[in-house]
Amino acid sequence: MKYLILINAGLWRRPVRTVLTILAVAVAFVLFGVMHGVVSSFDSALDRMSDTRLRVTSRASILETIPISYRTRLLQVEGVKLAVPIAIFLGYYQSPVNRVTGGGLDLAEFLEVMPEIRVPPQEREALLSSRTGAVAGVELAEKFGWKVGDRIPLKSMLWINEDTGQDWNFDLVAIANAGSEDDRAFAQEFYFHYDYLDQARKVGKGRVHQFILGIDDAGSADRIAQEVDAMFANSSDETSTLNEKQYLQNSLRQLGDIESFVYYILASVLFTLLFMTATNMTQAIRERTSELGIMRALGFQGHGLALLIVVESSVLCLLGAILGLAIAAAVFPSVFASFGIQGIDLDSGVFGLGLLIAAAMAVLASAWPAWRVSSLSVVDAIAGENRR
Amino acid sequence: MFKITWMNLQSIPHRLGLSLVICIGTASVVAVLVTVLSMATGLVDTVASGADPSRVLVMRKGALAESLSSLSREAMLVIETAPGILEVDGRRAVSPEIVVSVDLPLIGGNGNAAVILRGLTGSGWQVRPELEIVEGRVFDSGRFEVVVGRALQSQFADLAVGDTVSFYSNSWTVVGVFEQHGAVSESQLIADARTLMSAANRNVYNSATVVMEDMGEFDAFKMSLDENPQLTVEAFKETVYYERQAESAGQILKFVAYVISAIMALGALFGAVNTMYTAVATRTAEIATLRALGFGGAAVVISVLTEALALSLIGAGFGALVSWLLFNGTVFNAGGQLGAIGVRLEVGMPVIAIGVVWACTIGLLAGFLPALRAARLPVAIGLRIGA
Repeated sequence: MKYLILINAGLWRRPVRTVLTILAVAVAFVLFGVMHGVVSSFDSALDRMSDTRLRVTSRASILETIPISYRTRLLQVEGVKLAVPIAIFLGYYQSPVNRVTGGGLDLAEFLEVMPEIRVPPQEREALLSSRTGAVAGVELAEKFGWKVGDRIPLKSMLWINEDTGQDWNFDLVAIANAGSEDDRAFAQEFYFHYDYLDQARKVGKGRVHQFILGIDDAGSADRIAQEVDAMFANSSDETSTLNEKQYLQNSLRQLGDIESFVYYILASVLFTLLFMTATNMTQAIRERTSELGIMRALGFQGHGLALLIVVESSVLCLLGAILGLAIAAAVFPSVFASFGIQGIDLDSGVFGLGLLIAAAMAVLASAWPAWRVSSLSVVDAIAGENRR
Repeated sequence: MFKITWMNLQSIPHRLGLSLVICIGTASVVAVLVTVLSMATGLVDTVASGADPSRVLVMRKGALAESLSSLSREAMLVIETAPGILEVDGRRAVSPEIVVSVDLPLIGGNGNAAVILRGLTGSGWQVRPELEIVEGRVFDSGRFEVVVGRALQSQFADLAVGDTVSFYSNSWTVVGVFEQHGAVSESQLIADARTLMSAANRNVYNSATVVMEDMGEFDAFKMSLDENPQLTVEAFKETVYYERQAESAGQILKFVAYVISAIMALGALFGAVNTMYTAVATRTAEIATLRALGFGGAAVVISVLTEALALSLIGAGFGALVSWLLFNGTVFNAGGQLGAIGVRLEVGMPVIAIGVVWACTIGLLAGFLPALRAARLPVAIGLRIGA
């Protein structure tokens, strides 16, 4: 208890300095929380990918197409249960800023191979029976204020409708993942019937961007991928078959060299912060030299005082880190929202790592002053000698 | 007044640790700001310098990128009849082009990334005289050969002359390397349009690049395309098209640069204010003595502000130097899903100037409150506390 009083007194000896230090630490951890959070949410997206699904795309590029006739041959490969065709839509709502991702696909089989996407049974029935029916993820629907029963006009940057040109009209008959337990990361897209797209499109008929393969056993994924690619090798439409994790990794890599850059910035922020905290602690202890000397004379042990200083530094750093991470968590969803992705929260692992870094920083920053205090000569200290 | 400022500056080494807080704080802000802004300006320059003021790009109406556009052979013939097109040796300077993206392996086995592959006919080279083969030769039409842009070689594997790359079920031999004074097309591959069309199983082009006789006729050219019921196309001046693309790409990076730097600057400011308060506190007796000798409050304020400014300027210089040493001349990939854009990062003076302005602002803000406190402290109290 007496130590608590001492720590409190030490912290508030110079209140302006303490508040400024906590704020500086907080700012650094806002940056850490948001930037590391962005990178780690990519990683966690990777982790959530199923290992019993494969993606078959054109070997040339994910924006190139392959014939839908491949489907029958894909289903003959041993271990393949489903082969769901997808034609990417590349659309937008009202203005090109409002991107709508998703595509035309075999809805019945898609919902089967993607159990993460959940549609209430009644809406599911309506969806499967309506030719122009579509399902939107709840995040997307909320973003544009869409409701079941709405007619949704979208423009496609890829497909020309024989009658209406760039314009495509859909009937929104279902909303996916609206339940509280559903994964909102899978609620960003817009899906409709491939047949509607294929019958109405002017060019590119009979071709799709990819197939999702549903397989029995994750262990046979590599074998199946090899068999599929070998089957179409030297045809005019070669394929590239990857499991979902590899597939996502490849499309994230297209973002360029962002990840390493984020860590350069964070390293420079944390280094600066460490230096600042350490200097502050040293200065704080230096000003208190004679005080600490008296405490030694009163019978406090050297290592006891050293511990006191480490704890004081930890309180500073942890308070700042908690404040910073709390702010990061509050602004994090809007960072993603500005890129058009809704409902992504800061991963709890980021909190843990942040607090760990704060603790390590506190110990490092107070190591030198703490060591000096523990080896303080009582007489010199009381005299206020500033041995540097 | 100058004297006490100078005296004060000379005492900085005695408070080295504290002074370094300001230096390192501003240094890291300036390093990040300068680097990310250089990336942004590099990207804008790279994209914008691909444009030629005499050229026009024709795409399908509403297509946001060349690779998302399509133009049939019939459409191409109609476009050729539009007014205002330059004629060379009796042929109209219209280059029908294929633009696709292909996945190529990155250096070091880091997987694949998308690259733009352009298919040109013979007129493609006439239309783009700035393309310069700097190594090897041009591809022969009808053979699976490509030439690669200089900027790709530092990012992608197997792109030296003589290497082969494979896409569209064929292996293509790299026969040459081209440059386009650092512009965006240096991050592309170029192959023969007809060979590419048959390999990729296509019967439509993506876009047409047209050279105008005189840009003054652009409006007439555009109108004739717009009014032709056989076509649903849109014509852009290359300068306008590339500028628009450059802007949208550069804006995101600039936004990131300013937001992150502003947050960092806030943190550095807290640290710097702290330092300056301590600096003033340790000099209490000195300042009080000077005041007792007759120096005014303004002199004290100026001496403190100058100290803060000097420290932050040293920091700015250091930050800019670190950014220059680490990143100047490196090539980073600013590409999206449609293809790589290799951008050479150049840390230039205009960007460093912005960094210096930021550093000065941090320094002045950090010195302000502590300077006021130092100037306001009554002399008698100052002398007593200090002693």
